Amino acid sequence: MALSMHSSIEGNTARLQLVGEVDGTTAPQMRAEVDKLLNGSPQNLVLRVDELTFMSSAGLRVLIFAKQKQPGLTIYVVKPQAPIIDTLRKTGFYDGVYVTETEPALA
Amino acid sequence: MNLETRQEGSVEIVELEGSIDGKTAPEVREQLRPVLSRAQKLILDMTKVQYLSSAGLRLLLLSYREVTAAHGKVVLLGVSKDIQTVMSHTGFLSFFTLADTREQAAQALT
Amino acid sequence: MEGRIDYYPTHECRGFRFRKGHVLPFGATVVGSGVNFSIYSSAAEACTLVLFRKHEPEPMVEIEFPRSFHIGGVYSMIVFDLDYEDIEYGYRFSGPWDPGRGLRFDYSKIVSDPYGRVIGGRDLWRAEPDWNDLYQHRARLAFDDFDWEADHPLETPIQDLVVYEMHVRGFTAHESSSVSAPGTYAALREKIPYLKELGVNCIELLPIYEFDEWDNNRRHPETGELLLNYWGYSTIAFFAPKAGYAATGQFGMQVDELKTTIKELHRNGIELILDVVFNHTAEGDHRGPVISFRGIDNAAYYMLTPEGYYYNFSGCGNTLNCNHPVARNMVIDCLRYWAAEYHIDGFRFDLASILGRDQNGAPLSNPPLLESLAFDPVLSKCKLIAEAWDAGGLYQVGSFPAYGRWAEWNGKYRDAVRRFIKGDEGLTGEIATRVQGSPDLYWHRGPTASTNFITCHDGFTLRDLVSYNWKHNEANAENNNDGANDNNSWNCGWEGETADPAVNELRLRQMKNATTILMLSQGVPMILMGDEIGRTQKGNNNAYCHDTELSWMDWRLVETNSGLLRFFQKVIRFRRAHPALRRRRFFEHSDVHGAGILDISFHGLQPYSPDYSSWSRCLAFMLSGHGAPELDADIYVAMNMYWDALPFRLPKRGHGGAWTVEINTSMPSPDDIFDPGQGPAVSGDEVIAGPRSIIVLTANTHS
Repeated sequence: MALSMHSSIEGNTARLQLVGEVDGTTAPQMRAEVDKLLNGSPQNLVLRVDELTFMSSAGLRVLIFAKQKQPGLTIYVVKPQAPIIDTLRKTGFYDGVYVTETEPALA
Repeated sequence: MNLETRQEGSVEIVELEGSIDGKTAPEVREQLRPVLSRAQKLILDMTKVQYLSSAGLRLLLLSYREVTAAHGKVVLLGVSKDIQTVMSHTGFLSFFTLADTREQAAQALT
Repeated sequence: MEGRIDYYPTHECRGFRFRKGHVLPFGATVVGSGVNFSIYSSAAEACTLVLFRKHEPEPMVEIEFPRSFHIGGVYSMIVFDLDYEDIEYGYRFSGPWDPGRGLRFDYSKIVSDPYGRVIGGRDLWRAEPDWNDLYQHRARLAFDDFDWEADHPLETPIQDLVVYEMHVRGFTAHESSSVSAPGTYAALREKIPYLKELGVNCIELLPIYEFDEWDNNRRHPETGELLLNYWGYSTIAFFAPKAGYAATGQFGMQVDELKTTIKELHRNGIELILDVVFNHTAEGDHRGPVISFRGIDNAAYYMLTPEGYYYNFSGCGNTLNCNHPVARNMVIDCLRYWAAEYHIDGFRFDLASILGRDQNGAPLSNPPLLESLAFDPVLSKCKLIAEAWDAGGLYQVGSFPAYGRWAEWNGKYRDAVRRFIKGDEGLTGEIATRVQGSPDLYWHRGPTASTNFITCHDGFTLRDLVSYNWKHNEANAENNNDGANDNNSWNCGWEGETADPAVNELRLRQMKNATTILMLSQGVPMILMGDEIGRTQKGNNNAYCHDTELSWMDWRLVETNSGLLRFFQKVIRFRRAHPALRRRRFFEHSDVHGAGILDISFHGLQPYSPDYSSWSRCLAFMLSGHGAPELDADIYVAMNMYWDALPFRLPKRGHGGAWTVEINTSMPSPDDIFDPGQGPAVSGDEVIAGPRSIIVLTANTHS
C-alpha cells in the first residue's frame, strides 16, 4: 500500500502526518520528507499517525536518523494505532518517543 | 667427573669434565674445597661439562657464593648452550657471570 | 649427620642401612645423609618400602617397616646412603581384602606416596609409557631449596584482579607461539610481555598436579588416534607439578622450573591461581587402577557406599572423602604446601560442592574441610574460589558454605549475560542485579564473592559462543553426546565458519559486547585464554581430550584479529583505571556524598525509567564518581540488545563536565574504544546506541 504525507513547520516544531503504510518501499519517501523538515533545525517532530496502519523497523530507522541528524530532537507520536504501538514496543523504541493521544501544544 | 686445577698469575682455573650429578657432586665438592677457600679470582671452565643435574646446579651456586662471600669473583667459562637453557629455565642462570672465551673471562675478573 | 644424636643407622637390609624415622613431615624428606620416609594408613597391618633406581623395571631393595617403627597408623624410616637424585620409591601395604567393608589391600601392588613431591613415569608429555611397568607413577625426591630472593605472594586485592584462565600446554604448544620450549612452564615466562600488554594480572591455570595424559581409551573417529586426557582433571599426585609441562621435566627439574616461572610472574605483578581437583582421583571406581590411595587407606580417602562401591558425585568414577579427617588433613597439608613452597596466590576448587559432603555424600551445613580452609593461617591471604556445584545435583551458587572467605564462579552471571547478548527478552532485571555484583546471591558478602565469567574451559570459547547454535563434539568419539546442551549461544545467522562479512561483523560486535559487560560489572572478571584473539574450537564445547590445534592457542590470530585484541587490551585498561568498577561493597542506592546523583542508577531510553518488562532488551546504568571507593569519573553505560538502533536520553547531573565516548561497540576499530579522554564528546543530552551495541561514556564529576 502506499504512503501519503503532509507536513508543516511552525516555530520550533515540525509536524508530519503519515497516512497508509511505512515499509521497506515507502520508508525512503518518509526519510526524504523528514530530511527536508530537519533543515530548519526544529526541536520537536510531531508525527500524526492516526491513519497509519503499519510501520516497519525501516520507518523507525528514519526516526533514528532524525535524532542523529538533529541531536536533542524530541519526537511525539500522536494517536498511534495498535500495530504501531506493537512495533514500537517490540523494537524497544517505545520509550524513545512520547506517545500521546492528543496533539501536544508546542511552540 | 674429572677436575683439574691450575693457577695463572692471580687467577685460579678449574677445568671440569663430565657430568655433575647426585653421584659425582660430593666428590667434586671435596676437590673444589681448597680452591674455593683461597680463590679471589676463579674461572670455572665448563667447556667439557656435558650435564648438570639439580644437584650439580646447586653445587655450582653454593661454590660460586662461597667465593663471592669472601669478596672474590667467579666466572663460568664455556657453558654449552643446552646447559645455559636448562639454567635459564630453572632460574639459576641469572646468579652467574658467564663468558664464552678466555679473554672475556679474564675481562670479567678485573 | 652433624649435630643430632639420633641419626645413626640401627638396622640393615641387603646392604642398605636404616633406622626408625620421623613421623613428620609426611612424604620423603632429605635429612642429613639419609632420607626420611613417612606414610600413614588407618587400616593397614604392615608396610614395606620399595626403592628403585630411576627408570629400572625391578626394585633395588624392599625394606619392611619393623613393628617397632610404627607410631599410630604411621610408618616411618630413615634410609642412609641413597643417591636421592637417582631413586624412586613406593610402598606395599598388607591388610584385609574385603571390598564390602571398604578394604582393598593388595600386597602385590606398589603404590605411590600421596605426599610425593615429584612423580616420575610421565617425564615427557605424550611419550608412550612402558605399559608393562608394574609401577607406573613413581614417587621421587624433590630438591625443595629454591632462592626466591624477595618473592612472596602478591596479595593483590581481589577486587582488582582480572583473571585469565589458561591451559599451560595449550597456551604455547602451537608452533606459531615462537617460544623456545612450546607447551611448558618456561614458555609461559616468554609470554609475560603479551599478558602484561593484555592487562591481565592473574593467571588461573588448569590442573598442573601430576595426571596421566594417557587416561582415555577413546579414539578419534576420523584419525583413529588415541584421544588423551588433555585438561588434566584426574589427579595422581596432589603435591607434584606435572613433569610433562616442564621443558626440564626430562631432567626432573620441574619444581625449579615452575618456581622460576612463578617468581617471574610475580615480578611482573601477575598472580597465579591453581585449579585444584580434590573431588576425585585418577583411580576411578572399583574397576580402575591402583595407583595410590585405594591401596593405602581406601575407606578413609574415598566415599564408599554401604556395599563398598564408590560414590560418584564427580562423574569421574570416585569421590574423595574430603571431610574424613585423613583426607581432610591431606587436602590442608597439600594447599599449605603449595602456598608456602610455591608462593601460590590462590586456588580454584573444581566441583567444590563435593568438599561440603560428608562421608556418605550428604551435604553438610558446616563442613569441617571448608571451615578449616577458610580459617587456615597459611592460606589466610590466598584467594579461595569455588566452582559451587558438583555432578551429583548439588548446586550451591549463592549458598556455598563460605565463612566470609570463599568466592564463587558465578554460573548465573554467565547464563544471564549470554542470554542478554543473544537477544533473549526480559533479561534486563537480572542484568541489573548481575552488573552490581549479584547482591541477590552475595548480600551477606559483597561483590568480590562473585567471579564473573562468560566463558571458561568448560563450554564454548567466546568466538564459538557467537558462531554456533549447537555443540559439535563428534571428534570426542561419544557421538556428540558429551558436553553441555544449554549453551545459550547464538550463531549470528550462520552455523560455523563463514565468509559473510555481515555475519562476521556482528560476531565481532557481540564478542565486544560480552567483554564490555564483563569488564564493567562489579565482581571479579575472568576471561578464557584466547578469547582476546578469537580462538575457536570449531564448535567443540568439551575439548578435554584434544591435544591438537583444536584446543591450542593459535598465535597467528594476534595479527588476524588485532582489532579484537586491541579492544580487549583497552577495555581491561578501562576497568583497571576506574575504581568505581571495583567495589568491595554493594551499592547503597543513595547519594551519600551529595553528588546530586545516586552511587548507581538505572535507566532506559529515558532517564530513571529502566524497562524491566518481559519483552525488554535494553538497559542503561550510571555510576557516580563520588560514590566510588576512590574519587572517580561518572560512568554511563547503555546496553542495547535490540536489532535496531535506539536513542538513550542521558540523565541530568547537578554538576560535572561533559560526557565523552569511551566505548561504542557498533563502531569498527579503532573507533570502538578510545584511550582515556580521546573519544568524541557527546553533544546534546542523548546518545544513539546502534543495534546490538553498547556505549560507555565518562564525565568528570567537577566541571
